[in-house]
Amino acid sequence: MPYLVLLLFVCWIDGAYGESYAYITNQGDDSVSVINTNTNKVIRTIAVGHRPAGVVVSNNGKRVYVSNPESKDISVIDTKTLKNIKTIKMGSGPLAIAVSPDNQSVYVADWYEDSIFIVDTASLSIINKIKVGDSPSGLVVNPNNKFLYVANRDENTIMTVSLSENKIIDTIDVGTAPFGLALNIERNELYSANVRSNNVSVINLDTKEITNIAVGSFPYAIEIDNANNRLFVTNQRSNSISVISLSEMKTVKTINVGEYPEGIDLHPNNIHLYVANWFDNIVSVIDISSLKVIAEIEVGEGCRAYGEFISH
Amino acid sequence: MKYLRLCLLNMLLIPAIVLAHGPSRQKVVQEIEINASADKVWKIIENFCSIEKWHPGIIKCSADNGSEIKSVRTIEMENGEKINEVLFKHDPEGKKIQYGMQELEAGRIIKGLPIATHGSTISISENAGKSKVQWKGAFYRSFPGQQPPPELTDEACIKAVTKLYKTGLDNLKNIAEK
Repeated sequence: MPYLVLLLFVCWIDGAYGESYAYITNQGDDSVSVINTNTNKVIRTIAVGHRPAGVVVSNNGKRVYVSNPESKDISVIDTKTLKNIKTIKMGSGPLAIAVSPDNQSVYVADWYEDSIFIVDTASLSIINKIKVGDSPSGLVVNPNNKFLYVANRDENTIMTVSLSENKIIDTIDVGTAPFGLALNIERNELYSANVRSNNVSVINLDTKEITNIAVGSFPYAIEIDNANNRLFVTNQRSNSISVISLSEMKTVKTINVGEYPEGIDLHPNNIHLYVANWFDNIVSVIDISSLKVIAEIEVGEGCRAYGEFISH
Repeated sequence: MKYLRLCLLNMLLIPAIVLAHGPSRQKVVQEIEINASADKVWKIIENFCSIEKWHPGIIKCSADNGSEIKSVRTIEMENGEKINEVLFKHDPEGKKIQYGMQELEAGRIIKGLPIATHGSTISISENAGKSKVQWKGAFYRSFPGQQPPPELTDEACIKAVTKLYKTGLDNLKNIAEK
């Protein structure tokens, strides 16, 4: 009998800490598909607001925040019960969503109001609103929670917001229509996927020097592979992932995936890359050593998964 | 003269500034089975501008570089609306054509087809001597605000694109099966 208890206990520990889940927003279904990344199966579909797009899993894995641009709110999912526990009204068009490293704040970019809303995760209410540039579309927070970087799609800039002062302290010009952002702490670089100029801007945060790297058509989101010093970029119109070598500063390989690949996230095992293909309603899993698609998972209608969608 | 130049400059700049589409992207897929070989169907559609011949809703087409990649065609609809489209992919092996609408001028809404940022693919596959033609596209409604009038909603756009694809495919079938 004690053995059984011990066995159960071990299983429980494994269940709680050994597994990662991918939370995929399905824009056409008003839902989130939850994928167990051990089995690559959808274990649950959770109803959220209207036309969900952005998603972020808190760093402690306890919650998932989903932006719903057309019901103008965010949904808060409890990852233990896999239930939508709260809906918080936002501005006119919430899209990009990020969480602070300490899990205390959620940042939501509003493309109609050209602002970032700050939500307190304890009270689940809006505590601040910061005016930024035209159509903010990408968000990333630095690990010490000092700065928030915002991609303003319709003015081709990246703004740095000081989170202690809640104001813009820097504006950098990048390529045309910057959308997805990624921050590389090891290299102190920021990357933007520029939808209209079909390139990625690499911003050296020390020198503010910018290098543009050509990718596919309509690049959307970026994931960093620090172990191999690479970037993965989803190209919506090329139905592919561009693999950028950061030592060579160029695209070295292209991986074909489904149609309109959008959200992209590297599994914490540093082996598997997950990509949501909007047109096909399929999530592709890529082995990053062979750079081959090793699994395809059917999810809901119009999957987007724009953000950090895998729990750690 | 200076004013004229400034005006022209503004006209060039405006389309680049106004590409805000707050609404969600939509998709449409239409398919048809044709009792003809894929080769025969491909011959009808392979020329980027042949659409003026096989699509009853498109009365005229001219292209600046034939069926070469990046060629821009101007199609004229029955109601006189003109649309510029760029060829992205032309694949005779895979029998696939991929093209996309050029960004519209600021504030323009195409009568009868109120969409923007339209990317589209026509592909042909063959099974047991019959072809299956698939036409699919992704687009946004061109009405930029949050409360579109009924004729400019996402639903109205889906209806218009579905009609565009369906009438084209129906007539393609008619021609190919003759």
